[in-house]
Amino acid sequence: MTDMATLEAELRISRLNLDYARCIDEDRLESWVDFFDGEEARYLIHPRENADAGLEGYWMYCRNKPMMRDRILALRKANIYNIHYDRHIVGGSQVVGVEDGVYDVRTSYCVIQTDVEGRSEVFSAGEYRDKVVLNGGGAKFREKIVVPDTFNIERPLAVPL
Amino acid sequence: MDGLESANAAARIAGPSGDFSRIPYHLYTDQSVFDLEQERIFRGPTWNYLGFETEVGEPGDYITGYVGTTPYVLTRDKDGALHAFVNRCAHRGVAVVRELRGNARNFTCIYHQWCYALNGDLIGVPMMKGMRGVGGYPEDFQVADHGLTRLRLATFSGIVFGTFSDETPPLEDYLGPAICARLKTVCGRPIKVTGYHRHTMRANWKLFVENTRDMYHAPMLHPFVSVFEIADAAMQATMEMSHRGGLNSILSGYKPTDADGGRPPPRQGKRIPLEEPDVAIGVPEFPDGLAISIISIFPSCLFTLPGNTFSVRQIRPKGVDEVETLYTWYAFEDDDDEMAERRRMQNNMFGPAGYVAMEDAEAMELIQQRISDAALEGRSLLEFGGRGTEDRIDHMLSEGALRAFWKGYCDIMGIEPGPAGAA
Repeated sequence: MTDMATLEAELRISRLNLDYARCIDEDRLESWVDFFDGEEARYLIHPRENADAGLEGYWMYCRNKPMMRDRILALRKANIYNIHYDRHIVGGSQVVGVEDGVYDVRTSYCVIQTDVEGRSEVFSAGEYRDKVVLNGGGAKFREKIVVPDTFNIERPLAVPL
Repeated sequence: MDGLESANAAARIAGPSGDFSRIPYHLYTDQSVFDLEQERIFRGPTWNYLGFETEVGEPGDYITGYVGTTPYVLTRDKDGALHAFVNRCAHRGVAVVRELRGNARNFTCIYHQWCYALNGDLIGVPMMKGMRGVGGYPEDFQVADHGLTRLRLATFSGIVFGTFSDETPPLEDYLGPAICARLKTVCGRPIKVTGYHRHTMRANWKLFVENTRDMYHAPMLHPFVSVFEIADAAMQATMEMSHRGGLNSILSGYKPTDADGGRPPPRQGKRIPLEEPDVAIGVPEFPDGLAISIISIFPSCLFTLPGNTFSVRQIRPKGVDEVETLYTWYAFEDDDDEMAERRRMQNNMFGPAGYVAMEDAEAMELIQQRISDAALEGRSLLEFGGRGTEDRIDHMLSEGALRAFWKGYCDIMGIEPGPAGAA
């Protein structure tokens, strides 16, 4: 049985992931970094093939918040990619461990992309492996590792998952 | 296809113009061209990249991949010898090996449990003599006749290549002295694989090949370089296309060194600064200030070494309008933590999410979408930097490496180029 405190934490972290996903889907990418806690927070996309094999091979490696801001700056000012909508479908968040007030959390996600002529396809399905801190009323990611099962990707990966 | 049929098929294909400045769209869209490529190129007299020796380091280790559309397994047997065979059961054509990689004592097909040794030899067939006097194989059935189709192997600097043809020249002759020398430099110490990226693009495989040899597009399609002012204007560049009739090529960029032989201090763009510019700033680690190498080994791979992030990409045509690329990222065994982190950072530049790479997939797919409905009459225009082919160009403002590729392509395919400079 999961205790009430853990269930409450899971609800708050689920809400964090829903807000995070909506922020991306609504293209409010400048606010994306605000879901992370402190300048040292990390954001990685680690395709499952490599994660399972104990290899690095990250698709995106942001070791801190400045690198996350750079990623969005590049996306806005420089990078050219397919015109599309993203639609995240995010499952409930499950706490799998707690250490020093940092929750270790797993959440399934699926991103469906819709192209400029309105066709939709699954772009990426996988799991968020998050380290989350709860401060007062807010929840933030200390670390977010996206592990796509879809390790053979089609089309550019421009927008964070 | 026999030799005559194959020659006839090639003769029916209208070629590029004689100066290789006009490339008809049907070469990227026609199924019969694709089929002939499998026969004449991928199963023809070419050495195809199969993997690194270190990926099959221990007895029983295996990895899988593709030569053109043909699936293969690369293995190391218990005596340490390397083997490669086609991953298609001699009985009913089932994929014998279903995992991407692993370690095995032998391989058993799931369908009727035919069992193969690590070298591809058939070593076991259930109920070969039937049961209780009924069934089984005919008297003259020989297990030795039904092994998996083998590839001939050769290695260079820890890189394993395979070929289906007996006519393929020795590997070092095939690669040529310039590429051999460069591979010895960039794979000159023990390496380790640090990860894989798989990126599938809905485009003909030759659009990908052209893109990797096209320096004209780099500052245009990839604005990251100019927006953040990370290009080094002092970089000296060369393109060498002298070997294999232009099919193999090396693009090189050299950073000037300062008076003490050290590198100039990293530059940071002033217009829009990056907070962490180290993603884009490499430290030369090879002689002569060699800072960028793109080594294209026809038909199946290219080594891309910009700055301190190294990969080889296996080119896997999936159909006339689809290509998968498998990046194998590698580093040196003796890297210190600082170098490992530098490579990790610069990895952001390449791959499906690469700051200077993600656009390539988009450009190639936009081409494929548009040329398929104009395949009969349309053609690509490759006149930047002149017409015809040259062995070496000492700048990047040319499509010369693409024209050289098409010259070599026509030779190996047996396609006759048309008149020069046709409009």
